[in-house]
Amino acid sequence: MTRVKALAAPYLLWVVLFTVIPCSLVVYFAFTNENGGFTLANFRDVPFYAPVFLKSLYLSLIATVICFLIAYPMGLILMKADLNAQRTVIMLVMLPMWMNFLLRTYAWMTLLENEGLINHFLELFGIGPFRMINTQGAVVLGMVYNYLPFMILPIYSVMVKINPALIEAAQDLGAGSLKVVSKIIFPLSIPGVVSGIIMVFVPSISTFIISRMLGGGSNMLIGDLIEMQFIGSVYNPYVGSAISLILMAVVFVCMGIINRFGGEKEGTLL
Amino acid sequence: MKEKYLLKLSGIVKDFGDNRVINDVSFSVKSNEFLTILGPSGCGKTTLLRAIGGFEEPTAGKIFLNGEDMAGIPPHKRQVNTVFQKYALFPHLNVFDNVAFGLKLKKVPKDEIRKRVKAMLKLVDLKGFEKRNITKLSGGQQQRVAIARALINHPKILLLDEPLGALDLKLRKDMQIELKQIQQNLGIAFVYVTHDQEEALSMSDTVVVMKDGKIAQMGTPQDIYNEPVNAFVADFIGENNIFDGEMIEDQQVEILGAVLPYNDGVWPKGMPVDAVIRPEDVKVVAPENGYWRGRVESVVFKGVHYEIVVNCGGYQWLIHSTAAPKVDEEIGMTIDLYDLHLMKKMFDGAENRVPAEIETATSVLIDGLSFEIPETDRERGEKVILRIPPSAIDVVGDEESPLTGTLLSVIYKGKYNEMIVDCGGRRWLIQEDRDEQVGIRVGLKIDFSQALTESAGDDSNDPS
Repeated sequence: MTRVKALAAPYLLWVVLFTVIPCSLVVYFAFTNENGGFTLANFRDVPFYAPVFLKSLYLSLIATVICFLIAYPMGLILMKADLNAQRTVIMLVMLPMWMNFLLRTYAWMTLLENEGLINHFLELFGIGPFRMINTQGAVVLGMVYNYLPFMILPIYSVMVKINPALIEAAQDLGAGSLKVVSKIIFPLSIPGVVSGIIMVFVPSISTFIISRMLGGGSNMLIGDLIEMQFIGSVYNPYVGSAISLILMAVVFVCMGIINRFGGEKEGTLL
Repeated sequence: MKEKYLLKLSGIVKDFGDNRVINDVSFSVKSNEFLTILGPSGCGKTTLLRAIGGFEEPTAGKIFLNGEDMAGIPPHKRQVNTVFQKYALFPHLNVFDNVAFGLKLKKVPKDEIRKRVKAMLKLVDLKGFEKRNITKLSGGQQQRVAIARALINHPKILLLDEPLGALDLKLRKDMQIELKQIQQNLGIAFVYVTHDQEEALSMSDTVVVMKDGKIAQMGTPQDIYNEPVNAFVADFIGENNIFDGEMIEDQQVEILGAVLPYNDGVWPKGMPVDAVIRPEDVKVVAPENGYWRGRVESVVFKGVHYEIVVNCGGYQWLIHSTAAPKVDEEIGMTIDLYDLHLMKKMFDGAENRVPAEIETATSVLIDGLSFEIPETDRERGEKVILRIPPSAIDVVGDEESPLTGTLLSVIYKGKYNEMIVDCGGRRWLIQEDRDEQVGIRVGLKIDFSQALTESAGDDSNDPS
């Protein structure tokens, strides 16, 4: 027992150094003014940023829903495919993740630009040009493209573990394909769905690169707002901490809601 | 074609790739009948059940349910329900919702569902368990839920795939009786798959014994037990003494040195046979009064009878008797002639007759494989028949010999195990002291010094 505890020590140190201390600092700065005194003033401007919060929430929710709508049927198809096909597809899903995040997003910029590849291509047929870059759609696209694997992987890994005998038992009792999915596969895959939602929603709501590169100046999200407070022209880490704290609270509430839907199933994270 | 039978299988064949797991199986089930498919693991019995349930499409043959061809009809549209091997209960639903699953799909009114689930849980002795979590139930309770979940839909036939396999002995015995009672009370036909011969004999109206995807024997439990058609069935169905015998006259058989008259059927002179003698049919007499004599090796009291092992010239006899001879005592053994069962051997002949070609002075080719033999003066390229006695072949690991095959059967013959091994279509008869698991891959090592070589004349025929 003591040995196990000793082995856990480095991890404890890690958590303290990189989770507990930074979070405490964020909380500390959020309630501190430039002179180091306690203040609530940092939160005074927060209502002013409400539209940015709502937009972040809105866009990341849409991205999460789209990811789910793509990933879930894919999981259903994969669970019936043979093992080699499963491995190949999962490999291909993960392949873009091995490339640099910035590079991937830059690639979308060149594709979506007014003078970009897609518009050039459409021009050949006399269509367009369309304004695609610097729209909300482009931001959502960027989120879906970058975070889709994080939805597919947990859903897939839960689905392949479902005992095929359960599906046969449901069929035996009179369930057609749709009923098998709604009554057996979906309830049993909820833990994967919940992790998938968390892993797409959280990075989406706090992203700043995607919105800045694909959304232009008109689609500022919380992430951009926070970034501006720290390294932008505004430079106000105290307000930045306050906004971060509120973002954490928003995420926390969202997770609570999602976990409620997930029920008390094992394997649910956070 | 009007069918009197509820379920009829005709000429069912199922291939998985190159592997034929069911080979021309036909039988029918009447309403109310309890039919058991009995066989060792890998005999195709579960696949057959899955074909009836609609989970496997037969490669050939037809399944009729109530006279209606089931080809292409998916499982959820068949009026059969299955109790799965490991129950396959839905872990996210409680007992009530598991049992009600089928009724809910059929949109049965809620009140009726509640009533029927309650009645069904009472039937399987799980009254008041509605709200229980499936994962918190014991094996026996899960078993009952699985049965209730299937039966509540009033299937015409209930399919059961080794439903008692995961239970301990005591519970299994209780459940056997309960299952039989449920079947009789509800008047539903059961098709029951098991590898447990005792289960099959005690519950069934009809037993179908399967081996290697084929029906070895079909009949009432009494038929199967009293008149097994071959040594495999006899060996599988219960404890038996099985010995090699030979017809020395048309109606006289020699078994372990004793000559007995036998006139049940036509058996040509010189034919090798399997003789089956049940332990309870052997009578212990004075040494000079028996067909055989032997020395008692062990006596174990089993409650109703003594289990006696007798050594008779190196062959072990198993005897069940209410009288107990002493260990090391010399006894005689006799049987009533109607208790002697002779069976055609599952292998043609008493030895291996293998066509071969002389490759060099010290090697032969059998089925394309080269084997070293003691020096021969026969010409290269000459076609010969090798006569290899079963005792000249050793079963070894499948990496220790180029000649490998699947072990088809193992039957204890009192002194050795008689094995049949299929090597790419050619069957080998082997006598081996070791025991092996049927179905595994084995290698064969042949001692060619014990083999006789004959020229392949015109009358030679391939024993395979």
